[in-house]
Amino acid sequence: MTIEYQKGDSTLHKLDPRTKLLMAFSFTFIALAIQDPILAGIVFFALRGIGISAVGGEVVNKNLRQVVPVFLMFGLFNVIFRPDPDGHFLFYLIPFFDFGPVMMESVLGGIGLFFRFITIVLAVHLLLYTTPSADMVLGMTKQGKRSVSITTGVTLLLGILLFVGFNLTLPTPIANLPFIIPVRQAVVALVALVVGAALYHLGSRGVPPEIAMGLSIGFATLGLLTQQTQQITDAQQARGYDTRPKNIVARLKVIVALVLPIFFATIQRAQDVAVAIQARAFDYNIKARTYRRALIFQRPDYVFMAIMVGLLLGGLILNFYQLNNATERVIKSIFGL
Amino acid sequence: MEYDIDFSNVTFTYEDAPIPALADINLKIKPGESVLITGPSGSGKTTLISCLIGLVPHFHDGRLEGKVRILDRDIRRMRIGVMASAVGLVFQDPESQLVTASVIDEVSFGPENLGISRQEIEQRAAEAISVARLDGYENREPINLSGGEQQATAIAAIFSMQPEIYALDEPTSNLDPMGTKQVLSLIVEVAKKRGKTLVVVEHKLEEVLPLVERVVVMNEGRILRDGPVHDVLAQGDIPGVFTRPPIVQMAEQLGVGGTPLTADDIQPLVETNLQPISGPLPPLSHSGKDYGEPVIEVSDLWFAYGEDAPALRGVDLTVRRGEFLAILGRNGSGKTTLVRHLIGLAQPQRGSVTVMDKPVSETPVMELAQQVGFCFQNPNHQMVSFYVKEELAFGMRARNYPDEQIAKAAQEALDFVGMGDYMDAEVLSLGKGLTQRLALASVLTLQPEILIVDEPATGQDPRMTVEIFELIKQLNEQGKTVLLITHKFGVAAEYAPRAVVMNNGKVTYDGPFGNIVSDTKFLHGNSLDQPEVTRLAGKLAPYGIPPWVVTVDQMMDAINGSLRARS
Repeated sequence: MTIEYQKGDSTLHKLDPRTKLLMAFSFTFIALAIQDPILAGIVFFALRGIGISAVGGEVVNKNLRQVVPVFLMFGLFNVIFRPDPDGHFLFYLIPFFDFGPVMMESVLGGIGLFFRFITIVLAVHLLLYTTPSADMVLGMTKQGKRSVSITTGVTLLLGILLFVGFNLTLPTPIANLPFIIPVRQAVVALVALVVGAALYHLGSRGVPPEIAMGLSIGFATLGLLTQQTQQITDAQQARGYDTRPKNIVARLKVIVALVLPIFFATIQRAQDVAVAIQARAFDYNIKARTYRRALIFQRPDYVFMAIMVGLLLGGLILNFYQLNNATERVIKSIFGL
Repeated sequence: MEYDIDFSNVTFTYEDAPIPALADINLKIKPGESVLITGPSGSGKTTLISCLIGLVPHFHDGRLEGKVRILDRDIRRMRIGVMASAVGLVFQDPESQLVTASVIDEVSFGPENLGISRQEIEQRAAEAISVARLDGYENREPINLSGGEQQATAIAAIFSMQPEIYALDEPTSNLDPMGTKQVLSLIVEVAKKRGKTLVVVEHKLEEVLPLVERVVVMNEGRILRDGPVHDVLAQGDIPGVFTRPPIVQMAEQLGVGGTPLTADDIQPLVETNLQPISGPLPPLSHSGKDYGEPVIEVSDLWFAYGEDAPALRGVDLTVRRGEFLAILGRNGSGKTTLVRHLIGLAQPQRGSVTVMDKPVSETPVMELAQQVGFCFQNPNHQMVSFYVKEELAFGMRARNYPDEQIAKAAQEALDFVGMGDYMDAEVLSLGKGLTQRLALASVLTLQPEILIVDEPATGQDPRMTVEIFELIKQLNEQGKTVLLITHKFGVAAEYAPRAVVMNNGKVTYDGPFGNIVSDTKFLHGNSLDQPEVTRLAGKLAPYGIPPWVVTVDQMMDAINGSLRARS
């Protein structure tokens, strides 16, 4: 099943496309900040719950299922290749050869990693399920002049958080580098600034209309390509060609017979579109272009953003107080390790 | 500003083309004029109209000589976007010019580019949608609309930009007869009401001529005639280039003065020579041909695309061997959906379809394809190869015919459609007319018993249309059963004995053409319209002219008969 827009009118559907774009981005950072497996699990299941209420469990699970093996593998790699030298030994992966020591901390980290990755994917899926491509592009597009908007505020806040966050979560090797502190701070500030600026552009000003147009026509053309593939398959069938042979070699032939006509159809389409948009004055004065639909944040948008900021902040605070491994500690304290 | 459009000594040659597409064009059009440009396919009409917004020479490379001034601006110095803000150009193929994901976005796209206020965009979009009869379609995806709806969307998208010049390149090629009439009168009305200049490229002379003031006839890149409608018509036909509408030809044959364009114009002129006759009108003589056993049986067929409303709602149809029937009806009435079932491209959701005694739901398409030749509406969608030779061989290769047989059958089929010399040509290099004929030829290579042709006249000039209908008629005479979908009501009535009219997924009429040609109420209800000649026949009924007359020849016979009766 393809990951595409599902009609609906849930809260998630009604959110401003910019909120949802921000959501997909902020979950990347939230997933970085929250490392504890149980917390990451809670975040994931909460998000999944929201998703299911919006587009139904079947849709959410079907596409998510495809990435589970990949992320399970990542988790497993974490266990195998990153044994914590100070960790608590559980067992060997291959017992009689004493190969692949499995540490309790690595297992927890692996589970956490799995949930963090899958949360990011889910966030992107939800964005795609509940946002029509046209709205998405609109959300990304630079629209005229605008005074300082809420997005600016949010991104500024995000920038500051990032700055603090980077500082708190610096991996030990970098933190131990023999830099004098101000230099390190400067580097961190610079990185935070670059990321913040990128986010600011995406969230508030957006990409230039030319690129946005390209994106939206791209999205609109995807449907057309599916249709063209169908047309060519129909035409081949109507001439007595077996388009669904059982034999694998014959199947490859079918694909080859499809690829070239579709390739040409695509080029033709690109040319047609170029003519069509120019004929409707697309290059009249792009900077002064009006957008029919104004995007205005509503209360649910603010609530959603607040939750996201809260999650991010919470994760960072946990890190600050070194509580990002709460589960690990609890287990350790139970077993008196 | 004296002229809106001013071509002086313009010659344009596309890059790598051996001959110019426009040769020595001089054309001046005043503000507010409405002009029809006509001529056979490939005569340079589209190139000419492309100059109006500077697509030629800015987008299509080539050498432009002479001067083109549009709204007092030299197109060579202007960006396309600037020209397009004042010249609304609607292209031939509606599908290729729709770029957004919904009708409302499409209609707003132009005004958005012009940078007008949001409120005004909303207003203009709403107006354009209602004018183009697209209410309720706002959020539909353009790629999922029928051809006619797409055409209406393309026109609405230009209408909302409120241009100074309306330029339309065959704006009605996909529309049903009533749709054509409405769209054309709409465009003309809009242009006139707003006092704007109108340039229409069309083949449908009968419909357009009464609406415009001036005609330009082109051939091979040159303007052959240019002048007020009546002057151009008075100069007669140009064989192969310009054929005047039937009413005009009739007027000439009858020797009545003036150049009447419509049945209303000619009626008083003809009437003076006729005398009322009482008694029954001569009945339509049926061919009385006996057809063979049923080859297609459709009963209570229902079908819906996805979640949409059903496209077919209980269709019953029986076709016998050797029949020739025309399937007519408004855009989106289910004609194409019906015939797709006959080769298994669509499967009945309820009811049954049997073709040559095989139930379609149990027979693979590749097997049905042996019995049923299917020509798609857009021949370009049917092309699966790059060379004519490969295209013809495709179906036979799929069934592993020996090479000699393939070569022989391919040549025979190509000869039949009169393209014997094109065996080594590339498919993409063929024009519209030849592609349509190649589509027919490649379907014939498998020697199907049944031939289904979906609208062979789209985008074809009148001569090509007649040629393709002649070919289809020949095939029918050779014993093939023919099902033809078309919007060309007049031509269909001339060629096909049986009419099947569809409306909203149902068959609303099935029988000889003679019974419906005179029933204007029924025709209009099904978005069809009488040819002008038939309309005239209706008006002349008191003089003994039978109402089923569709061609000039039939009309002349009837009038001569009536004259004889008088003397």
